[in-house]
This record gives sequence, C-alpha cells and structure tokens, in this order.
Amino acid sequence: MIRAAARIGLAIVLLVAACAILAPAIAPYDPARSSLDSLQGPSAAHWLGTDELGRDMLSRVIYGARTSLLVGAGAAFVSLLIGAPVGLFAGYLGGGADRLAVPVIDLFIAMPGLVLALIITVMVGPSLPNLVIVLGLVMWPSVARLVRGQTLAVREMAFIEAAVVAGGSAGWIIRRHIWPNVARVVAAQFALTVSLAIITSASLSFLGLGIPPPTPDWGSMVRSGYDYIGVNPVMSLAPGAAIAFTVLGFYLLGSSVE
Amino acid sequence: MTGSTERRSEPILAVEELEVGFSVGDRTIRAVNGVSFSIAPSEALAIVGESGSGKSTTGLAVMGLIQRTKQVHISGQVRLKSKTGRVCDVLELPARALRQVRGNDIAMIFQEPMSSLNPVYSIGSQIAEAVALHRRMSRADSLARALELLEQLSVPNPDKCLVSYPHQLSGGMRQRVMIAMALSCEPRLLIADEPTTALDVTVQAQIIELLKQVQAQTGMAIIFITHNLGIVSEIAHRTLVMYAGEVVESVSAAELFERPGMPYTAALLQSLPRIAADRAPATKLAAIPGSVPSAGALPTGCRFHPRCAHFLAKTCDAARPMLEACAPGHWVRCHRWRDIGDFAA
Amino acid sequence: MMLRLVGQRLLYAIPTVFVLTALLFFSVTTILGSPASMMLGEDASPQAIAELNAQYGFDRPALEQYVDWLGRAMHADFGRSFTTREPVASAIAAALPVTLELAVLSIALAALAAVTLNSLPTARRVIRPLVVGANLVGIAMPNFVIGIALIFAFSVSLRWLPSTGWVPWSQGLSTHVRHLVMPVLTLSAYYFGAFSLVYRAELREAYRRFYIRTARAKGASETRVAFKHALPNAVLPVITFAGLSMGQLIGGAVVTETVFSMPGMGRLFVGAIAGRDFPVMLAIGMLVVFGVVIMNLITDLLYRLVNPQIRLG
Repeated sequence: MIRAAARIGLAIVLLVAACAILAPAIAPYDPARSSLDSLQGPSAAHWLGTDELGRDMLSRVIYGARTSLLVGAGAAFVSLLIGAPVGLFAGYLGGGADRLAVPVIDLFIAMPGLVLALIITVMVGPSLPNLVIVLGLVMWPSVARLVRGQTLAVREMAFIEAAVVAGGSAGWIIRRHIWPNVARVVAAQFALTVSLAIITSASLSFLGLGIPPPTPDWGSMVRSGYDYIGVNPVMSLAPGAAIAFTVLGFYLLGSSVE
Repeated sequence: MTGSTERRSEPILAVEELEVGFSVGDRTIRAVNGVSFSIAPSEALAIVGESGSGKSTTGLAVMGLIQRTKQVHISGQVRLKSKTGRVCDVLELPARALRQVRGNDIAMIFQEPMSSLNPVYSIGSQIAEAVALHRRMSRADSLARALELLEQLSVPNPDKCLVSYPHQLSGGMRQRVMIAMALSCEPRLLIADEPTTALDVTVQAQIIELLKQVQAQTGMAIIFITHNLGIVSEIAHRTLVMYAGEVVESVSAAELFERPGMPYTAALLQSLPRIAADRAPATKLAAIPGSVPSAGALPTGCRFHPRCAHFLAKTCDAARPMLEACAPGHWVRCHRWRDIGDFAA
Repeated sequence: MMLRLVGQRLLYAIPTVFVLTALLFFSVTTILGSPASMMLGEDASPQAIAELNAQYGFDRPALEQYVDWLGRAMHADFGRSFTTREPVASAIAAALPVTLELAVLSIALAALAAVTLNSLPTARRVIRPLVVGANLVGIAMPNFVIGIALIFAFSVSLRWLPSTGWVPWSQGLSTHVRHLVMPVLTLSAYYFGAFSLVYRAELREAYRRFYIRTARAKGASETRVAFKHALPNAVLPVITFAGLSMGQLIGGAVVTETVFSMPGMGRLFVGAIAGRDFPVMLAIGMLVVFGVVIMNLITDLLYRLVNPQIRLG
C-alpha cells in the first residue's frame, strides 16, 4: 500500500519533470504568442482553450511546470541549506546551542508561513530568484526540527561514541557518521518541502506577489483565469489541477519514504 | 440449590481442537495447534509454557478477542455454558452476542497492569463502565458497586482509589483494579493471563491469595496462564503444559510435581529456583538449552526433540507423537514416556 | 501550580512579542525606505520627503520610533492608513470579526469532521477510502483552487450560492450563512487534511495500547472502544494543532478571503502589502505575532489541563 503510493508519487513527479524538460518539444504553441482567438473553450486546435490574450492554455500549463519545479526544488534546497546545518549542530552539540536553536525553530514554525513570505517578498521585490530565497527562509525551521530530532537519535548510537573516543572533531563526526544516517529522512522531507513550496509560491502568485509576467506560472494563471470563470472556467481550473497534481506527486513520494 | 456438587463436574467451558493460524506472506504460522481442554466451576486450570508456546493466544481466542480476518484463521470450538444456561460456541457468536459474553460470562485480566488501564479515566469510572455495560444501573449505583468491589478486594482507602487515575497507583494496585473490573459482573470464568509477571514477589503472592479467596467465595472457574510453575503449585488444580502451539501434557497439580511425564515438563520443573536449605547459587538453574521453535519453522516429529535430553533418532524426529494417557487423568505427548517416566506399565 | 506555570510561560511570551515586533518594525522601516518617500512617491523631491519625515517624526532614531509606536499600539493606536487615511485600529476592528468567524467555524468544523470520520470503526472498510481521498485533496489542493472549484460548481454551474462577498448578520441570517458556506468549506478542507493526518497517526498509536484490549474484554462495542477509549487518548495533538491554527488565523484566511472577496484581516493585509501601506502592515504583523504567542500559551495550558497525568502530577 505504502509502496504503491510511493510509486504513484514518483510517476507523477517524473511526468511533471518530463513536461518541464520537454516543454518546447511537446507544447503545441509558443506559450507567449497571443492571438485574436481569446477566451476560447477547449477545441481541437486548443485542447485547453485560450486565455484573455488568445494564448494557448495547454502550452502555458506545460511551460508552467518549469517555473513550479524550479521554485519548488530551489526553495526546498535553500531550506535544506539553512535547516540541515542548524539541526545537525543543535542536535549534535546539545547544551547551549540546542537551547538557543529550539525556541527559535519552534517560534518560526508557529508563524504563518504565507504571511511571513508576503512580508519578505514585498521588501525584496518579487522575482524568481528572490522567491526561491524567500520560500527557503520561510521553510527552513521544519527541516531544522526534523534533522535535529534525527540527529539526537543517531547520536545515542554506539558507533558515534566510538568515533568520539577515536578523537574525531564535531564537524568530522557530523559529516562522516551522522549525516549519512539522517540523509534518508531528509530526502523524504525534501519531497514534502517541495510540495509545500509549490503550494506557497502558487498562493503568492495568486495574491499578486509571485513571479512577474510574462513567465508562465500556474498560480498567476489561476488568478487571471478566475476573472473569466463565467466565460472560460478551464482557464483557471486547468492550471489549478496542474498544481494539485504536482503537489500530490511530491506529497505521496515524501510521505511514504518514512 | 440442591445437587450443586453434581453440577460442579459439568464443564462450563469446553475447548475442542482449537487452531489459530496467522498468514504471513504465503506461509501460515500455526500459533495454536489442536488444543482441547475443559474447565468446571470452582476449578483452577493452569496453562503453562514459555513465551511463544501459544498459551496467551489460546486465552485470547477463548475470549473471542482474536478476530478472523484474511490473515487470521481460527477453527475448532469454544463451547461456553452461559449464565442463562444456554451453550454457545464463542468462535461463532455474532458481534453483539459476543459482547454480552465478554465481561459478563468470561472476564480476563492481563500481564500488563501498567498499560491495561485507560490513562484518561478515573479508576471509579473504568470499573463502573464494566458494570454498566452488562447491568441496567444508574451511574451512582455502578460507582457504588465499584466501591464495593474495591472494598471486597481489600484495597486500602477505596474511596480515594475510586477517584484516582491509573498513573497514581502502583502496579499491584492496578492489578487489583483490573481484578475488580473483571469481577464486577460476577463472571463464571476468569482468564488470568500472566497477571503477576510484571509485579514484585510479595505483591505476586498477595494477588494469588486474592484470586484464591475470590474463587472460594464465588465458585468461579479460573484459567491461569503462566510460565511460572511456582505459581501453578499455589493455585492450580490441573495443569496444561503447552509447547510450540500444542498441548504436550495434561496433569493434576499434585502429579505434575510428583512425576512429570514429558521431558519438557521435567526440564521446566528443574529450572524452578528452589529457595531450599541448600541455597543453591543461581547459576545452577537448569535452563533448557535452545529456545521455543518459531511457529513458522517447526521441527518434524516431536516439536521438542531438538532440545530434548532423551532424544532418540529415527523415533522422536520421525512421527508426531499423540497425546496418550500414561496414568489415570494424566496425558502426555511423548514417544518415550514409558522409558523415561515413573509409570507402572 | 497552574498559576506558576502561567507566570512562567508569560515570562517567555512577553519578550518574544517585543523581539519579534521590533524585528518586524526595523526590517519594514529600513528595507522599505522611509515612509515619507513611499507616501509621496519616488519622484518627490528630497526636500519634500525630509519635510514630511520631520512632520511625522520619521527622522528620529529607529529605536525611538519603535518605542513610540509600541507605546501607541498598547493603547490600540496604530496610526492612520497611508492609502485610506482611516485610523488603522478602526479598519482592523471592522475586519477582525469577519476573519474570526471564518477561522473559528472552519477550524471547528475541520477538527470535528477529522476526529469523527476517522474514528468511525466502520470507516476502515466503507468510509476510509473517501476520508483518505478527502485528506489528499485537502493537502494537495491549494486553498484558492478549492475555492474556485467550489465557485465554479455551486455558483457558476448550479447557481445555488452567491459566488463572492460577505453580508453582515444584521442583513439577515440566511444571507449571511449563504455567503459563508463556501469560504468555510474551502478553509476547512485544508485543516481537515492536516488534522486527519495527525489524528490518524495518534489513533494508530492508541489502538496498540493494552487498554483497548481491556475495553474489548469488558464487552464494549467497537464504536464505544473507538469513541470512548481511543479518541480521548488520540485527540490531544489535534486540539494542540487546532489551537496553533487559531493563532495563525490571519495566515490561513489570506487566500480564502481573497478568493471570496471577504472584508477580513487577510484581505486587509494583502491590500496593505500591495499598497505598501506601512502602518497597516505593521499593525497586522504585530497582531499575527501576538496571536501566535497567545495561542501557543493557551494551547500549552489546555494540554496540561486535559491530560490527567500532567494535571495531577
């Protein structure tokens, strides 16, 4: 059952990744090319219809996979880059370092991530690299908490004591002995973080603080399609479904590795 | 009523050819294998065996606490004479009727007094629940009954105990509470699954004494599941020795210690620590070499043969021995009982 | 003992609020540039900016400004909005009840549904696939997608419910409720998924405990075992989670309020962000911090109150 879920998740992720990589080959139109056939429903020429500027929705949804994966994976990577060292050192060193890190981690986890992301985004300005960093900044505490917990568990194992007795430095022990044992869980958390990052970045886009146009972005597509929901519902529902599909893939993959 | 002595001999529970198997992958692990026994009112039957012998599974199956699923196979009969006088097969009862049997006709206490009580409810409300499930009673009346039970079991400060929570009580007290709960509806059969294993020695003795008293007062039958033959000598009238899922010996308590028929039983007896005058050091415990085979990989022939001191090649590992009567009221499952036991031919 | 605990927690909570609001204040004021340049636009002459800064006291040292701002905030004076010139406090007073109602209803509905549906013993066979499906929808579908899908189904296609807007109680209860149905469903979908996830894990744990076997041995029905014996032992983390979610209510409501054009805190905040309306942003930011810290405190205390093992030591 669990392995089946993981397989489905992996299949979804691979499919979305394939769309992102092969976008120029499989997209029927240039996603930025507008035409006079605006706001059309699904047809043989445009399977998902066209948007208010007459751009082909299918092509835009396919290209949107690029942005989503880039932001999702990038943000998860940034959160790992901050969260993993904090968690490793807090968990391994314990004592003062731990007492300092844990309340900070807990506090940031308790903060509503979207509000935090909105505030930081408005300060630094919305752009793709900024978005990746902002989301990474918002999400690192959960990674840190998980890594800390895992590190605490691994630290108690006998081989760590042996390494300490052998005179290894903290950095060396963490790199050689703790990290390899924590990495598996972190990998699962990475997939979950990607799914969360995709949702949050889509929400930011929907609120108007996402990646600026004309980059095809699912959240912004839903936002503009929402204005025309009475005319062409596919325009908002198709990119919405694409977000849900991708998030589901990463979620299934991440939640079943544990 | 008249004629109660005759009724005594009539069993209230008869288990026949009980089989419990668990499917794991494409294999079936046979945890309980053709177990049969019966028990009459006022009787105390001990089921003895090492862990993995199937003794606890037998107890749970009698209680209807093992559910048939795709992976769990149960067959045989567990015939119970209920309070109403009707005889039913516990294994075939529909859910609703089974619930009326549990706690009412058969009650059970467990090895783990620490975790067998629900941490979020007070002792009083947990005992009262057991009462209210089978008796039409107001909350106040069932709480009064709970208090009465605690008093009967000589719990110190029963009023205080009633309003305490499980974590505030010692292990011995919790087991008393479990017993109170089990006795609340005056069951005719109590299954006690290693009720004293988790307790220290003095408390063990108190609990055993308590169960004996209750039995004398109520005429309840007790099935005592244990690995400790010392406890058997204190309470049981009859003993069933189980090994690797099957009954290997069935014997009266007196004869068990006099002349065990099965080498396994004899070995168990020898491993008993004797607090005798010679003060033998603990290292002299004659532990049985090896361990109970896993129910998934049983040896051929006699299941005990790999560990047996009296093993005879081509006999013991060839055919599976039957349960044979070696003396009146004494059955044993051993190819060599005539050669090794103290039985007149 | 309880009082000492409250005191102890407050001792942590109060400095947390100060540190976080200060952090918020300094980052917003320094990074966004001076409020005056924002009010006058980027083309304004340096002279005009300096004049306005002096007029509002923006030229003073940052710490002095923060202390001043905090002092006024303590008296519910958050200044005036840059865009509407309305007092921030009255804007918040109008928006807060909308968000509060939305969040309380959604979180309560989600917690109730998650605990009940996942507890049902028959759920293992019949309802379970549906519950798992609903969980996945709640987790994988962003709020705005759920909201838009609901609008498409119930407003555009079926024309059963009004698509957007919000109507106060005073204009009729039924209209009020009809406008609230879809937002509450949307927001609770997310919480339902999250609560179910937590509750199911706890429930699995609870069912492994021996007191479940004891309850069955007493003759309790599976429904009774589930609701009376397993539920109370598994529900605490859901209560905690629900409490913490209440602390984050503004964050949770931002997207839902935007989709359904509800005049609540979330939309006020998004508007302030879009218009770089610095006093409104700061005020809401402070409320968020305050809400999180307070709800953490309350949840922690509630947790101890419910659990007899902690309550009675």
